[in-house]
Amino acid sequence: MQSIKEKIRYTNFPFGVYVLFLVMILAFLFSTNGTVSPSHLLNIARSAAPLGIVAMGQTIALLVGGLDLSVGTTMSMVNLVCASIISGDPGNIPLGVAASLGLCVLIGLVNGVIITKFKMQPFLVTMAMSIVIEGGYYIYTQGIPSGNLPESFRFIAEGWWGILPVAVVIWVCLWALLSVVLRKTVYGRKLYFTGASAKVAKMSGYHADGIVISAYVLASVLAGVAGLMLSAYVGVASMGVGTEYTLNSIAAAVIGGTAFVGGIGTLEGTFPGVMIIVVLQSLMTILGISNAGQYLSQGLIIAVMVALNQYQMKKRR
Amino acid sequence: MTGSVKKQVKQAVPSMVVLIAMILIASLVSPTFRNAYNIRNIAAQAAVLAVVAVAQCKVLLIGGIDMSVSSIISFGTIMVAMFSQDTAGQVIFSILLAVGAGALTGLVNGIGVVKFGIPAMIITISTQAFLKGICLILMPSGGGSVNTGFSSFMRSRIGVLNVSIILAILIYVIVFAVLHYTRFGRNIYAIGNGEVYAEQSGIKTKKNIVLIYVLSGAIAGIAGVFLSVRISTGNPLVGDSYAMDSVAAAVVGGISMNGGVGSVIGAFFGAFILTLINNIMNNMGISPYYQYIAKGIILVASLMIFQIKRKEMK
Amino acid sequence: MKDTKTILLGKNLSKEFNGNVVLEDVSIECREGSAIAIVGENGAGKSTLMNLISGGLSPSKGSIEMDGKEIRFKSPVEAGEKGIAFVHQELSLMEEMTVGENIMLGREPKKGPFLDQKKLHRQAEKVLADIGYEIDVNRMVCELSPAQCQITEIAKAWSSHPRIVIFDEPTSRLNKAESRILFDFIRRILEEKVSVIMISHRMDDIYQTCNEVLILKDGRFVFHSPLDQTNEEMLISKMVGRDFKNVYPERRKTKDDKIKISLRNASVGSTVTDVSIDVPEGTVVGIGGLEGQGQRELSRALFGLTPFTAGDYMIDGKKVAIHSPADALKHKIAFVPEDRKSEGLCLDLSVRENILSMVLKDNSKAGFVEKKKEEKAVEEGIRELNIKVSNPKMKVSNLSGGNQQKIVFSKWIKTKPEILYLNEPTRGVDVQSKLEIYSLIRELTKTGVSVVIFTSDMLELIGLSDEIYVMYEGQISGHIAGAEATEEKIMQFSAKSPRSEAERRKEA
Repeated sequence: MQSIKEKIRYTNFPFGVYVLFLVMILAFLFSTNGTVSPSHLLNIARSAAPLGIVAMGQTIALLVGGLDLSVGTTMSMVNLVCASIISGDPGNIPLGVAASLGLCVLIGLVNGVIITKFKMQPFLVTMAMSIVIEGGYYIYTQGIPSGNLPESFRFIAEGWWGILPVAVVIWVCLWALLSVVLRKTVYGRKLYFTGASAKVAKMSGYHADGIVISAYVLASVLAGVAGLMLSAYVGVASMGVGTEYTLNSIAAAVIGGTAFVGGIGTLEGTFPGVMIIVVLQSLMTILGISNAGQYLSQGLIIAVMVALNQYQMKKRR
Repeated sequence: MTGSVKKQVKQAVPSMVVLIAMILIASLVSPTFRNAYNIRNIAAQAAVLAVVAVAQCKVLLIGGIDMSVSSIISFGTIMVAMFSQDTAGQVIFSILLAVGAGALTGLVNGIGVVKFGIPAMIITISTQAFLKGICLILMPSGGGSVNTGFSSFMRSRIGVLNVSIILAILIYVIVFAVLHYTRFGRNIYAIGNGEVYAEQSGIKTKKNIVLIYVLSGAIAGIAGVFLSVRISTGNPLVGDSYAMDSVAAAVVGGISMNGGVGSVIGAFFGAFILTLINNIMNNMGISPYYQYIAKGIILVASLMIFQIKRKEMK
Repeated sequence: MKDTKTILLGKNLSKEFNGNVVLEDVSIECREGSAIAIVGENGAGKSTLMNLISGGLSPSKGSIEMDGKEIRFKSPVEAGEKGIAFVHQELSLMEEMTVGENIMLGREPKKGPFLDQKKLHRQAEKVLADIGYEIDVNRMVCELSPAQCQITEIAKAWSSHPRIVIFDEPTSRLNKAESRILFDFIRRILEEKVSVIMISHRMDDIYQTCNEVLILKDGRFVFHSPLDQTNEEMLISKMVGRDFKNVYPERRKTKDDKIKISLRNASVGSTVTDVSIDVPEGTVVGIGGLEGQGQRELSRALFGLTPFTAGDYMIDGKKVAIHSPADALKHKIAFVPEDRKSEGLCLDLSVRENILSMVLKDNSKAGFVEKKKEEKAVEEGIRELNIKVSNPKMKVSNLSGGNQQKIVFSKWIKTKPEILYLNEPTRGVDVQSKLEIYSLIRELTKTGVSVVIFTSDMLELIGLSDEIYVMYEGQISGHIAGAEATEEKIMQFSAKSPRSEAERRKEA
């Protein structure tokens, strides 16, 4: 018993947010009088997949003590780019995907290099990047989005394998993969260490800059994957489909216990964080305030969760 | 000018030089630019940005940032558009609502920063989102109308200048005097230089920080009123670009993101430079889409330039 | 000693942090016109005592009386308002403000609603003139020399017309002439019935200004007397108060002839000039001297954090170029930094993660960490260094200074270094941990590790080193064998430049 207590005390597994998640689900079930079937819940999870994927990227950026405000526009960009390249022809899928993800790698590299080499605030750099991307896709499309995605591509968002939505399977697989990378690999450990203190990491002989840059590249590429999946949902090129994902991804990470100081947080926490946001937003849709409600909940959730995290940290000191 | 005031004001010199150079070159090259109508248009456009930039500038001087100005501006336009239709009393009431909402948002920001230790960026992004939600509930899309008497007053000219730009200049004069010549202003610079040391010197840093965010919000509310006159309606999204633009204007004007360095005058020049860039690009027939890219690059580039310059000085 | 009025009385003051007693039952009495010297080693509790009477900390036990009435300061600001000014060793100036604005910060004169900048600068000028220095009050602080900054700091404290002034190492940035002006000033204010407390490592400071001395050791009161009944040797022996032999492990008897590290005419900018040092394999070489004589810069250059600007750096007789910690690691160099909290450890992470941070690769296979190996490595690390921790997953920030420092050592020893650079390795560490660290260092040398220790703790320097180099103003001013070293010899080298030493010999 004692040892279990010890284990719970020192684990970094975010039990609290899972409890919160369960409470949310129960509340959802009660408020809809139990008419919600498991498949309905799976459908909600399906629609959560793009946010789930981009939130993992955001978590990684936060873990190295940064922040990526360009993930939303990156998703919008990927939607426009891949839809226009593929434009309904399954044969173009590889090219469309490669071009989209290639651009994401570039974006992440530029973010990371400017942040580390010029020691600039991550939020400013990524915010400026977000504007540049926005201008870029406006110029690319000349304001008129064009192109659509074939059925075979849309399978990643719309398809089902038996009772499981394909999108959820992809999301969970990526989650498992990244979780193992962060927890079990040398790279993951170094990432946490660098996030906790880049200075100490440098003193310990780590290539701290390289680790930070890689984190931004990961964040961008995951935003790219999320953008591809989002495009598969939407089916066509459409302006600004990713905008809301920037703040939602931060909110999801923060609910999951990721702190802004770096080095603190887990992907295991981000997962229920994403689900909580998505369930909350489908509640808002039921209430008929989906658009406004989204902003209200984003604002409230981020402020309250960060305040709570800060309070907890102060108490532990 | 004596003491550190001189040095702070000096930070604005590069932006002034750039602005003058831009005006000279543009008026030599382009007859459309020289047009009096165009110049007044630029001034009116810049007035809104200049007012937001002065709000942003004070927060940057204490080493913070205020992203919530964008939603406060949108909220301001909505207040004026919803409540100012008929009488002068209504106009004043709507202005008070706009400014009051801004101040209240600022209060939440300030308390979040001081009491809860939330990073300024995060708390102001949160209040930005929250207030945007409220804007969208009040006015899901643009609408309403602005009192015609009020808007024609704001657009009327005294001498060569619009009332709106004169009011903007007046705000700058007041803020300049407060920042450089009062104890409150001195405290702001002290906090920006080193909060802990300021506290040790007997300055009530927490109170001052909250006050700065409140003032920043209130001034952003005024900017919202200005903007409502320009667009003649209320709009829940119209303020969105101003958060980023105001930071850019302040940074171009030589205000350090780390706090304690720079003068509001720089923000004034910065606001005009950004507005001019838009205007020139429009006149040259460059797609407005390029302006996004230009804005992003200008922000990062001027930050880099100042960063490198200041490092060399040390 | 004349009987004069008591301003402040600290009675039986104690302070503990998380059960760690750093000050126990110390009393202090500040009277009008008296100057008390507080003397003790690093970590003896001097700054704690000063913080207690200046409002920076509140005592766990004991009371403070001012003018006969018991008082409790809520903050240094409140203590300042009551007339207690503290000139800290670290500067607290606003870089982007003028000298005058800094001096008058929070007390600016007003004209109507506005500040009177001219009057402000005139007043500041007067404060400086009172003290006896001339600095242009309109200059920005970021343009000042360290000495001018120190003087501005003193002026800032004096401008509030305090009744008690506490000086913490006030001459560390001043040259002889500047120090003399400060001493004159202190003697003048003593006549004006101000009370002075002085913390200083330099005996000259103390004997020039003070009339009483209070000695602390390991947080306890040791000795109190009028200064004219003491001499330097007496103070030092009281300060040490313990036997070298019991504290420090035995020195190495035989000296290895193989030179592991050697520096030839090495310079780092203008802070370190023309330094030549040889470190034989398996020995401890100590670098001593007063604080701020270039030791820090030299140690950082040796680890590749800043580049050497001239000279040769050789390991095993071969010239090496070390430009980063990563390079240093390749040459099997380990480095214990001066500030463990910002450079040595990730405070928010666990003991386990910190200990393992340098050896992730050794405990992994194909990029994946191996849990069993890691557990073993952590367990070994904790056992070997006797780190007191209930669970390896505890956050480092919850541990005491001594345990934290042991984790820094453990982290670096895991890399199996051949060279160990230590920078103030026992600062802020409790006595027990200190002893353990000393014997650990000695054990390491027995396995062939060469150690260079940079320390301002003279006893540590003498007790631990096989050879000692003393630095003064960026140069090596003396070289002594450890067994022959005494405090006096080191002190002599610490306070004069090698050139003046040579000149003196010539004269003689």
